[in-house]
Amino acid sequence: MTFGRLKRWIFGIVAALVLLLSGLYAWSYWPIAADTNAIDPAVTLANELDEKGIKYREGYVQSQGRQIHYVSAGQGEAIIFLHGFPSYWFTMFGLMEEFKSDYQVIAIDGLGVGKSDAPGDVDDYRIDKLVNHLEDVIDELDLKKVHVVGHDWGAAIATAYAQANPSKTNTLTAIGALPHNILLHRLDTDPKYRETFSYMSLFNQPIRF
Amino acid sequence: MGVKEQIWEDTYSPFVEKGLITKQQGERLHEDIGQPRRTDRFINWYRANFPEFDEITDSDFWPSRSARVTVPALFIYGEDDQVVTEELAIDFKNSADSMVILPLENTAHRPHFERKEEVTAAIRELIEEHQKSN
Repeated sequence: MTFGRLKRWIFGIVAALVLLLSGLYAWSYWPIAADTNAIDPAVTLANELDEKGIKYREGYVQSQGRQIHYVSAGQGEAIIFLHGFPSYWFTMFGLMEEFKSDYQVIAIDGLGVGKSDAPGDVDDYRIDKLVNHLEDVIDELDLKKVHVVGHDWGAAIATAYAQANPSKTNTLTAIGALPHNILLHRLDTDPKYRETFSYMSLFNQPIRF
Repeated sequence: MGVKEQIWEDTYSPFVEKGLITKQQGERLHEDIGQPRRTDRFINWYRANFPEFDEITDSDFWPSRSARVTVPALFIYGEDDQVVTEELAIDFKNSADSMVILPLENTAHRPHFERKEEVTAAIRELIEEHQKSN
């Protein structure tokens, strides 16, 4: 092999590596912006399934520079529904249908999920910020005081909201998951739970999809 | 199998088979859940909030390690749920001024699908009790 060909080979390999790594970086960290003009097909389906003449409408609230997507129906005292992992607002549709005749039901897509923005910085997903998005939706819709219902991660956020905002919470319903502070305290102090929840450490590794 | 198909097979497809949701709803969930880049972002909820277990400090807690629930509260969980134990449920109750715990038999991690009627009735009762007392 001549020196010139070797140089071209090395250049080619380096260029391929740079492309691959920047591709991986973009995949992991490049923000995904919500398409706020497109109608959510899950909202369309929710309204096709409606038999009570109470329609769902969707909107976005700006919170910390992020677009947070929410879906709302009905009138009355507000009940906010928060989905878990790996879900989005439509997994709370069954419960929303049960309450929409008597209450204003609102479900939110959490940051990164559904039709909300999905920034690349991990710190944007800290629980205080996720609760702050919920607070901003509540303020923007001028709800004052709400019932919160959450499943899985949504239960952790609903509970943290209620812990931090008792004067703006009517009731709290948590489904299928512990509050973040209680679980974290057990993980900190009780080794038997570290095994049960070891799947969480897997999430700190690169993921194969 | 990719993450999208795995979530569908493990979680939502059985709900369609059992008649808990319609085929149409199932197809929507199948289509919308598990897109790889979105799922990676969603996993940031864990990455940002659960440090390595031997590195947990007070600053990882929000609002705080000892934060309590002072509003009327309800905790519903399936007895077959892998991530909830009776001991943890009692921890939760002990951190609340007024909490009803509703464990559901033969129920796993998604009572709002698996036992929608009981879940609805329990939430309704909590809300209506609260309305009466105000």
